[in-house]
Order: sequence, then structure tokens, then C-alpha cells
Amino acid sequence: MGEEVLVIGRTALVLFVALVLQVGFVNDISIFGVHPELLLAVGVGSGVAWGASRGALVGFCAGLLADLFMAGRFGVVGLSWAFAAFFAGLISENLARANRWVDAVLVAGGSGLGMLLYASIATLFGQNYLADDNLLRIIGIVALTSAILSPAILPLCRWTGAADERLRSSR
Amino acid sequence: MRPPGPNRKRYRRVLLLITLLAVTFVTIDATGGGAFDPVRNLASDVTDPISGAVGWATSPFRNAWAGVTGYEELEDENQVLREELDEIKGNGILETNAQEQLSRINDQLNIRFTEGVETEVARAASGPRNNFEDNRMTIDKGTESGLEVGMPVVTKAGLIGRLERVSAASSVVQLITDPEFVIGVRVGDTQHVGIGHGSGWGKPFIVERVEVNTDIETGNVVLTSGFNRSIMPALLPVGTITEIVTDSASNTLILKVALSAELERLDVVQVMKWTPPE
Repeated sequence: MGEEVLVIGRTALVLFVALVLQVGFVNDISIFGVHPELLLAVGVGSGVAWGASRGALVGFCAGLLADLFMAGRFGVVGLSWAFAAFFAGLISENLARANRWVDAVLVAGGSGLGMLLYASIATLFGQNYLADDNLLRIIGIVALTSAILSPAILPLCRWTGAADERLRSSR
Repeated sequence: MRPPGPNRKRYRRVLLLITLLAVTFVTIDATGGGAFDPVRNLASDVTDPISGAVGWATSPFRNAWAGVTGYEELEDENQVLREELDEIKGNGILETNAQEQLSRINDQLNIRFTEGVETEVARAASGPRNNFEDNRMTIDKGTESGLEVGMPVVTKAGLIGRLERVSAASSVVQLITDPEFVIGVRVGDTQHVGIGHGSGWGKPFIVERVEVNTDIETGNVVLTSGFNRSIMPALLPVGTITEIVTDSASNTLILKVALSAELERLDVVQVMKWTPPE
């Protein structure tokens, strides 16, 4: 029980720091009109570090935090990012061997998938993001920046969890 | 790749739980009434001071970044401005420029659209929160400055939106480009009215249900109608008509309107402390 509380507390702390950095800093760091998505990277990073189930839960919480600050239906970002982190975690779980490069690719892929799922689900609810002229650019830049940030984010994601659950402790 | 049995069960449970929760949230939010607005406002109230401090501490880096990444954009903009200046000098286009015409007509009609209404000057609080175009901006004033949901937001050139959510020290503005931004408008000093709505970032404002008539021409000014129970006060400049299309099915006109306010580089705006009558 004590360890679970610790895991939840650490995860909440990492998500809160990511949220504050996102709102106060990262939103202004625009690369060709697109800013990185720290919260999504944390969600996907949790999936890569701890597996599909925890990835889905952390991705969902990260998405709900993002939902608080975005227009549109509350819950859409949460749902999209949960599935993206889940699939990143699923692939990570089933990789026999991996290294930092593979992790970075997984974080990039998961982040790109997260933005694509968000655009798709938001389109179902009337926000036509799938038709956005910048869709591919947004997916590409978010994926790339997540990959670049992964060496900093993945250790934080690993720090949040209990040591005996770690997927590949050698990494 | 296929996960072993116990895992599959756990995955199913987790995904089902998340999907159910998300669908519940979306459904509650879709019923209207702003069920999540208090939570969203609370989140803004909690994070605004901390993110403000983070923003202040990182402002040198952000400014440097904006300088580096915005250099090409600035060069392009300078080039466009030079070309426009040449065009104005060469053709005397100043007389027919839509913006100037709007300004002139405003002067003629003696419209000082914020006169008589208390206003609050506010600034864009941070960069866009969504990478996709959600037609929203955040400003650095909220209930502490007496702002309320529904108040019109303008620049000197005209209407740019309305307050959609207001927390203690910040507010979210629904921009006029949002397809869900719907207002009653009238054409210049005529009595022709219609329903106007946004059609997306960088696209014209659309006015529909205008009776077919010969008085309306391209270049005419479009203003808010301010009819009874309207969500906007009367006579706020919206823009100028650039195209008129006849909808033969409904025998009405559809007007395409170029917005008078420049939304691309919004920094300082004014919130009119006007709320729709009950």
C-alpha cells in the first residue's frame, strides 16, 4: 500500500511539473508553428518504462490535464493519449532487447500516434482537426521533440515506479 | 507480440475503464452548461501563479527562441509590407483599401464602438495551448479585473471574440474565426441583417440569411446588429464584404466578410465590460 501511494505521488508530481512547464514555457517554444507536448511525452514515456497498463493510466491522466487547458470536449485528449501510451507500452513490453535509441523511437512513435488519435477523435466531435493543413507537420514535430526529450523524460518516468515492476531494469 | 493471458485480461479492464470514463466525461460536457468549467477555472487558478513565474524566469530564453525562429517570418513580413507600400504609392490604392474604408465610415457615422462601455486592457497570456487550430486565445485578466463570461473582446479595428471561460487571473477568448461563434449582424447603415459565423482560421467570416436585395455591395461594412437578446452590443465593426453569393435554394444572400481586426498578431486587446441582457 505504501509503495502504491509513493508511485501515485511521484507520478502526480511529474505530471504537475510537466503541466506547469507546458503552460508557462513550452507553449511558447514554437518550431514551425508547433510546440512540443510534454504531457504526452510523459504519458508515452510511462508506457515505454512500465508497460501498457500503466502507460494507459498515466497517458489518460496526462491527457485529462491537457483537456483542462484546451477547448473542445473534456476527455477527448485523455482518451487519445491513453491509447497512444498503451500501444507504446505494449510494443515496449514485447521487445526482447532495447536500448536508448529504441526507447526514443518508441516515444516518438507513441507521441505521433497520440496526436493522430487526438485529431481523429476530436474530428468525431466536430473539431475538424483531421483536415488541418498542418496535421502532418504537427505529428512530425511533436514526435521529433518527444524523441529529443526522451533521455530526460524516461528516467523521470522510471523514477515514478516501484523497482520490482520495471520492464527492463538493465536499461 | 500477443500478450500472455493474464495480461490480456488486465489490458481489457484498463482500456474499458478508461474508455468508459472518457465517454462519460465527453457526454457530460456535451450536454452544455459548462459542467467542467469550474474544474477548468480551478486548474487555471492553481497553475497561473506558478506557470507565470516559470514564464517570467524563462522569458530570456523564450524571447531569444522567438527571435531565432521568427527571423525568416519577420523578413517575409517586411517584404510583404514593402510590396504593399509600393502598391499604395503607385496606385493610390489607399482610397479603396477596405480597412481604410471601414475606418472612414466609422468616422462618418461617428462610431466609437467602445464609448460608454467600461473596458479592460489585457494581453495575450501565453502561446497557443493547442497545436491544432482551436480558435481560442488566453488573456491575462480574469474575474479579479471584473471580467465575466460573454463579454466582447475587441481591438481598435473591431470585434475579435468573446470571453468563453473566466478564471481569477486569466480568461479564454473564443475567437470570431470559430465556426461555433454565431452572432447577429447588419450591413453598414442599412437595415439588412443576417446571421454571421466564423469559418476557421484565415478564412472569411460568413454571413447567411440575408434577404436578396440590390443595396448590398462588396466593400460594404458589416457590424454587429445588437438586437434584443443579442450576445453582442450593437455596431461593433466585424469587417468588409469581399464576396456576395446568392443561395438559390433559400433565395438569400451569403456574404463573405474580411475581418477588420488582424488576428495573426494579437497582443493587446480590450475587453468590453458588457454582458448580454437577461
